[in-house]
Amino acid sequence: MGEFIAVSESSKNALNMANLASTLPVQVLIFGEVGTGKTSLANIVAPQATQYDALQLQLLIKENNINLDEIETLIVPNIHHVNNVKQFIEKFDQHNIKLIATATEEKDSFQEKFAVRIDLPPLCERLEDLKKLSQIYLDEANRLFETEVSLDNVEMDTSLNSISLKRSIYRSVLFDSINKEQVFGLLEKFLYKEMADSTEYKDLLEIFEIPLIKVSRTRFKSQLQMAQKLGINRNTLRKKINQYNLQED
Amino acid sequence: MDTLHESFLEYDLNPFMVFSSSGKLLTYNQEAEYLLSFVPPQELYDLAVNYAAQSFGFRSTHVNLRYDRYSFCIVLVGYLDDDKIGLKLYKEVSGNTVSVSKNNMTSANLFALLELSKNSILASRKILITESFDPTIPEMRLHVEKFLKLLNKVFSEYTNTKGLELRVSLKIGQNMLVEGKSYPICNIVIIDRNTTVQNREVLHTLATEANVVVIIKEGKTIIEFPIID
Repeated sequence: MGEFIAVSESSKNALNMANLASTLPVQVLIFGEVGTGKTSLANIVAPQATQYDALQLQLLIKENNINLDEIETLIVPNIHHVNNVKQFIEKFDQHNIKLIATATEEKDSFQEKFAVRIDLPPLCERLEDLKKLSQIYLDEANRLFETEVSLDNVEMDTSLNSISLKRSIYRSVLFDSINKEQVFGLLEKFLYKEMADSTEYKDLLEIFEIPLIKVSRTRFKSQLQMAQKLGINRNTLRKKINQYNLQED
Repeated sequence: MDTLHESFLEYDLNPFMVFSSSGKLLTYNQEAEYLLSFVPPQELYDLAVNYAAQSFGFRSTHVNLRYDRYSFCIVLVGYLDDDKIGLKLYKEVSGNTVSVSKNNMTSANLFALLELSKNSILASRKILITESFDPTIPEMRLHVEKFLKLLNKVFSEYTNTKGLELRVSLKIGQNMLVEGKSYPICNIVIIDRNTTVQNREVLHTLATEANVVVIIKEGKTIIEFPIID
């Protein structure tokens, strides 16, 4: 479980709420998209609490495989997956269990059943957090791959918040650290899988040609210059650009 | 009328008053005097006229009336001639009084609860909140979960406003008796002239569950509760 990053105003506010809620005997809901830090925040509300995914917990209760009398606090991610949330929470009310639930989808009963609700906005709306988290992931990746890639040279995908961000930064650093031999090895593996569907030389050629055209366009200013540097005919280059739909907007 | 009849009316816990045909207040008992301190006589006269029988006589109607922290369940209106009209309002036994139980109460900081509730409900909206808090209000014992749910619901009524005023203070000169002991009263007042509270009954139900009193007035909502240490 990662630490909760609170540099942006909204996450500082969420952290403050979590600290306040940690001292109170109330049911807490932490709401936000996947990868926004809900479970990390839940661990601040209840650091010692046992954690069960909502569906797993529902099954344990149904099959009498859990003794609720022995539990004081529970962290329950994905409570929106449970069919009857109201009935589910009432079970914990009856046993005086403090519940810290997380959800990515809204349910009607949330307002009635949770006294405290903490909303976590997506990372793209928390730019200071995004920067800090990116730097943490980049440092981790640089240490792992023994590289010195800077933030300006990594791809930052926030479509799944911290999950996609970490993945994209690690991938960027990995690509940067890779040498010619490793590229050959990677291509061999890739081609081995591809050959199950397509074996024609001209179909597989795009694996080499598309990145080459993209990179040379970044490096050289015009198609004339690209053709000269690559040592191919200008018409051939234009034909390939059209073939791969790589025309500039 | 003999003195006993008059005394019964005078000391009745239900407000009683008599108006002239022009709406002038002619006589009223002690309870009505208190009611008249926050309800204009004209409003009560209009009420009497609205609920009067079609012809001379008496008519009682079951209603759901609420003035300040008092709610009334029956309106009795009577008139024997064109000169005078009498009005008696029967208090609802439950709902207007708070029966505070100290069981299951937890000590909590009121300002922390307000902070949590404000942030839960209003943080995502751009609402300018002007706060005026009495810092001397100590930690107190409350039914925290239910109190927070009430606060959340109250703040939910103000989500469409641009600004509101939030005041927390001690109610000077008044105490609340809980289990034989007298406690000072704390007041939370939420003021916004542009908001009309919609879910009054829900708020009163939540207030009863939280053992506090909610008073809904034009442009403001007041939450009152004893400071139990």
